[in-house]
Amino acid sequence: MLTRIYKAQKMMDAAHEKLGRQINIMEVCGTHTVAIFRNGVKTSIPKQLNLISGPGCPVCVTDQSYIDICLDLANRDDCIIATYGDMIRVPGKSGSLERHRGKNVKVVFSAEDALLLAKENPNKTIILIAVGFETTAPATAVVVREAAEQGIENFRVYSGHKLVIPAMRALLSEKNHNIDAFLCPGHVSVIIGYGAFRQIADNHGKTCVVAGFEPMQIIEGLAEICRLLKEGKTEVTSVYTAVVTEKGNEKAQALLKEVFDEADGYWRGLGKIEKSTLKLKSKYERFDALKRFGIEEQPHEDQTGCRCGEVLCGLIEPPECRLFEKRCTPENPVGPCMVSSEGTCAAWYKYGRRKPGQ
Amino acid sequence: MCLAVPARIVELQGDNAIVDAMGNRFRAKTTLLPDARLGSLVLVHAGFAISLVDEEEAKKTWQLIEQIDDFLETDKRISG
Repeated sequence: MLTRIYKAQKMMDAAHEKLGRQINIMEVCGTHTVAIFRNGVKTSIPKQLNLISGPGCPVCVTDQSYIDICLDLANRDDCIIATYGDMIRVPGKSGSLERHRGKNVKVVFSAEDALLLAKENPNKTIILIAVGFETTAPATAVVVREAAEQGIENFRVYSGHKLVIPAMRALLSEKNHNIDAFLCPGHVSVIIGYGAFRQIADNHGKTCVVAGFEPMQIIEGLAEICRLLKEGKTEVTSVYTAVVTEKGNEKAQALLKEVFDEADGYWRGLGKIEKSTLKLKSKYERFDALKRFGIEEQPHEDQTGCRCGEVLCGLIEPPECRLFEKRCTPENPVGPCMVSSEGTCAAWYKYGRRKPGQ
Repeated sequence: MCLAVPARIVELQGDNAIVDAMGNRFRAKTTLLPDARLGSLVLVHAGFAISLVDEEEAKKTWQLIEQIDDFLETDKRISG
């Protein structure tokens, strides 16, 4: 393993020498962010290689108005909210879903559990708080289709599902971005296939390399990026060959297409991004929680002074936010990047409490 | 969050499976993975098998999970 690390480091040094400047690589995956911090990857690579954490944590990129609507829904007596565990502590305008936990908010492990809740509670409307990227969205598609087939009419979905590639495009359309290449998410790529990132390479000239979550995978992914930068090539590839193929999981992709439409949507920090979210197709709209209750999303800015939005775009590092470590800690989080164990602020707090630039 | 755990299918009826990951057994759906069979090693995300995985890769991931000090805590909060 040491030989592999040594080879990778040499490649990183060579790329830096060739380019003659700092190299900026963005990871767009919360699991990568945590793995990078936990394993000290930032400190074991040459300092000219700058790793930027991008909008890769689905909870973190969820817009404030989405959280507030979830809280409104949780206040209804006729509903049970089924949510994945990572959403439960995200603060909204009036506390978090945690306050309702055990009453009409239930934490589920799987979308299928939400459907079971609907079968067990025929007098209540069960709303699945569906947050997650392409890895998670196919499960929602499966249960919506099951609900339709089995006539489970008290089941609803509030889709906050988002697509990774439109966010990458949005970041690259900012004039002052400094991203040289992307380390792409392993499990999103299991679904969409590494070939999906070709549009980033073709249209924006940025190399994309998919990696898994072991430290060696991440280091070799970074080394592969450096090799391509050094050779002046823009390519799309994967070092996570154990589970990621070029085409991905075509069955899951077909289900996404069958159940969802791509729609414009709001991201924390990035604002409105074209065709970046998944909304239920009209064929399945009777399962859409917002349509059922006539709720419209009205995006608004967070008023707490939290700078998660800038953290998510890689514009600042968490210690540059004046709330970090002071008013905002994992015990009392102000913003979602501190709530989620995969949030950049939580990772900095736990593993990386360094001052910027050190 | 896109955490996924390798697990072996130990029971399978239609697309409803019971899987075993490091001695922990839980339900998983194989709807997204029609190639999954009894005994297959699969990568499970939020209760759904999303990919087949080989023995070597599964072992590497299990070892990685064992190393994570707060795995139990993470496991409780595992989600999308």
